[in-house]
Amino acid sequence: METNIMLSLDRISKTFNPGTINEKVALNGLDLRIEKGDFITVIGGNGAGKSTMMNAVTGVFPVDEGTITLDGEDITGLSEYKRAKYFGRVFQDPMTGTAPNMEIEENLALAYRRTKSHGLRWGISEKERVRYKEALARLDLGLENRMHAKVGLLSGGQRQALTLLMATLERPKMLLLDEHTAALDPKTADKVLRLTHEIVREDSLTTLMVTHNMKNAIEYGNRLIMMHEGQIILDIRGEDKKKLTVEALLAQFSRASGSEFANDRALLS
Amino acid sequence: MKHNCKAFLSLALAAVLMLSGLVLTACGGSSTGPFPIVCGETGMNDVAGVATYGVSYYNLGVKAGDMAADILLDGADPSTMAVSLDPNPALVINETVAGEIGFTIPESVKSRVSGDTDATTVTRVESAVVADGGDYTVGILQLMQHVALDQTNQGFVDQLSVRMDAAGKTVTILDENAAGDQANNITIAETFVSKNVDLIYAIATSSSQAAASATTEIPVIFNAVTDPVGAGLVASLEAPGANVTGVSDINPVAKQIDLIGELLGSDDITIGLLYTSAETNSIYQIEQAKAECEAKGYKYVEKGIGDMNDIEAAFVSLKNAGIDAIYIPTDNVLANGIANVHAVNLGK
Amino acid sequence: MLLSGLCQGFIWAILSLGVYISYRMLDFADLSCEGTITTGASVAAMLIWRGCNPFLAALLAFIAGCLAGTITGLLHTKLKIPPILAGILTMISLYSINIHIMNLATGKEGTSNLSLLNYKDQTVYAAIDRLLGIGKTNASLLLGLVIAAAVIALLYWFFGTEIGCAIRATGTNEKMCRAQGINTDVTKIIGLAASNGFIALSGALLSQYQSYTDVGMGVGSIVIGLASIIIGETLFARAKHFAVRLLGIVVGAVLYRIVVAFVIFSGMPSTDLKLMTAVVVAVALSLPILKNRLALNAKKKNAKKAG
Repeated sequence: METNIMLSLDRISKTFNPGTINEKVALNGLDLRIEKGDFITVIGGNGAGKSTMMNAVTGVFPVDEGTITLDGEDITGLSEYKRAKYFGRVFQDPMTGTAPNMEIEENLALAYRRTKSHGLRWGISEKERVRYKEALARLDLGLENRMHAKVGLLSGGQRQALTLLMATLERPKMLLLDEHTAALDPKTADKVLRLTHEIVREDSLTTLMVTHNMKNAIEYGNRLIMMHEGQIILDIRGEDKKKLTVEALLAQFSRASGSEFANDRALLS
Repeated sequence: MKHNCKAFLSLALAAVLMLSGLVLTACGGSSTGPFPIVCGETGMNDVAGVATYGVSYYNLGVKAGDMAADILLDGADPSTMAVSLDPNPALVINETVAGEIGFTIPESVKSRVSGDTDATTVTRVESAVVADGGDYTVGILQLMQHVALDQTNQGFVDQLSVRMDAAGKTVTILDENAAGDQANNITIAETFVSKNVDLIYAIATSSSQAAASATTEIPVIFNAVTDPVGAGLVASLEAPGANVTGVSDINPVAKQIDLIGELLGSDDITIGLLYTSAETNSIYQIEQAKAECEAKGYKYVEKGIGDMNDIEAAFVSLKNAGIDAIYIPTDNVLANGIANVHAVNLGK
Repeated sequence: MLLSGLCQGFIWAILSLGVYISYRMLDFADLSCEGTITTGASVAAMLIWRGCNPFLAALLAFIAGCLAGTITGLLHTKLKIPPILAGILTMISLYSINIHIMNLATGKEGTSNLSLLNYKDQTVYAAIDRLLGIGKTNASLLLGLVIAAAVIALLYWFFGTEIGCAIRATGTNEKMCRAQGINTDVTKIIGLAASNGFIALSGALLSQYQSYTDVGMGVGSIVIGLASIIIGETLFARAKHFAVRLLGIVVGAVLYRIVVAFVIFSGMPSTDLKLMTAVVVAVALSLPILKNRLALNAKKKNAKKAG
């Protein structure tokens, strides 16, 4: 059974600005086990610790306590760039995931080298170009004909699609999506989500998707977790998840946390 | 320029000095007999010295103007024109410091202080300087705006105009200032060369080097350079050897050493030479001071310091060597700490 | 005058290309420049005094510059000192280090100026002149042209490699770089080392060209570098090809020196030199905006006509 675990978080704690008036306990002894092939959606109120959990996993900052184990390897002390070879990441802000001053193919070439060391070989080869073109065609956004365009010229949706492609170009151990459709208009968001679903299914990627949208959280994935004050208060999977409704979820949240769900965006969408 | 403009360093030093001054006061000091001190320049003399000869940058400019006129009007050859010093440095005395240390300045010295140090001021003949189309064209390349450098510029043009007027000629002056941007040095120098000026007057070391680099044919007169040989401008002070010669602003070390003998009224004296061992200019002056001491038959004791913290120990060692007076060259560290030198000398 | 501007322009172009690496590629306002140009000049002059081959001296100056850039990089990445402060720290510490380097030539303490007037036949320019017999000015032009071309070729190649791409990406989006497995500390240090290497190389050439190194010669060099970049970018605003953009910077540096030479040549009061410099840079900076305005006005007119 243990061999089937992809990511394991054991008693993870993180406090920001300790000892100051801005002290904030973001993660409070968090425990989570993710099985290979899981597609988990994560929801929670403002400041519940969703993004902090993502950042702890990817090593944006060191955690105060606890261990992070990825596919049997303890990665707790590994720096962010070293962990990058395991994780494909897409961020909330479409600006974050790409280099705007560089061409589409250059961005892909960077992503292709995520798992490799950087040397004095030419930054992009003809063979790669063919592969990138095919991969871009799969997005169905016409980007395969704009390989030399600067990414800064693309729309937010195009950029997120590209970032998604970059995150999965070299199969990562896990795909981490941090509210990656939150900044997009509903139509584009839907398109990017469908694309996400396709890619995750085709490559059977273990995925963690933070979302503000309860409907999406219920619709996608095989498991849903809800966070509150740095801990997981709900963990619904399998048949139970399929039967979930937004109303039921809200009711469960109130019961589990003893408070109203505080995320305006989640309720409005 | 003797002093590098190191305002920041001066500030830091001033702070250190204030602190070390406090420490010294607390320790009570061990120096007993204050010595008459002769400093390299008048600013230091005002604080700690009894008398010295001061260089006038205006005079240096006048001297350079004369040299330029000799070349332009009389066809003098710069390669054989010896580098000049201030021909007439002004004697200044400081009776306040003399009183404080209980030293009596001899009447023979006092009587030679004229008081009117600007006696050599030359009145510019405006008609001899024309905006363009003069008989001669002279390019002036000055490193930056600075009181002393401005004076060498002014003295030069004043004297050149007088000489031109006397010869019935006119001169056009192209006055360029690099504004402290050394990148402009070579640009200005090359512009003068491409304009084919008759002579380049370069003020300060790096500007002079740029002018010397830009041409091997057009005569270059430099000014405000302390060590023209070390700067590679001339082969020797007596025989420059090429198209470059000029005026050094080094303080009259020999005259200042002679002054010590005059002040003490004896030839059987030992002079303490106090300087910072890390400063090229100081070492250069100390070598000249030693040569003059030997020429005059004075004994001397050298004491190089690392920084102002060494000053009290230096005084103790000089005292033990049985010195009669102290010579301090123009030295950045000692100039900045001159007040402290005076305090240590007084045994405070 | 034109020749003088060209000769010096090529030397300053190398500095500008160096500044371009930190300022544009890494988005790092690196003020070490004012210290490293003098370091390059000091190392080259000192080695020439010591009888070293001038080309080798220039190469070693480049390496010294790389070391200085590495220091700035370490201060910034390892000690988390903000870019401007890290650069300033390197710059002021280089003031002392440069004097120490020059001391090695004279064997005296406190050497703040090192003359090459007595070593005029031991510079790279004299060597080229000896080799081809084309005179100092032509040798300066030729060498400037060749080195500038070589630096462009080198940068074009380097920034096309994997590591070069990673450095470019670091300057445009650091967070993304770390997510793509790039050690941004390393890319920044490499970028700063290369940047300061070229700046020092330019200092090494400058000291041989003007026949002296002075501890104060770096003052204002960052302005020259930035002005050249801005002029070049404005003139070559439409250039898509990286090599052409780099060429634009060389053109910018040459033009800038020619403008300065022209200002001096025209006999404008020298006190106005700095003002003129500022005006040239301001004009270059505002050209794109002026162009846009003109285009907009033209459009409005056309729209009115059409309406």
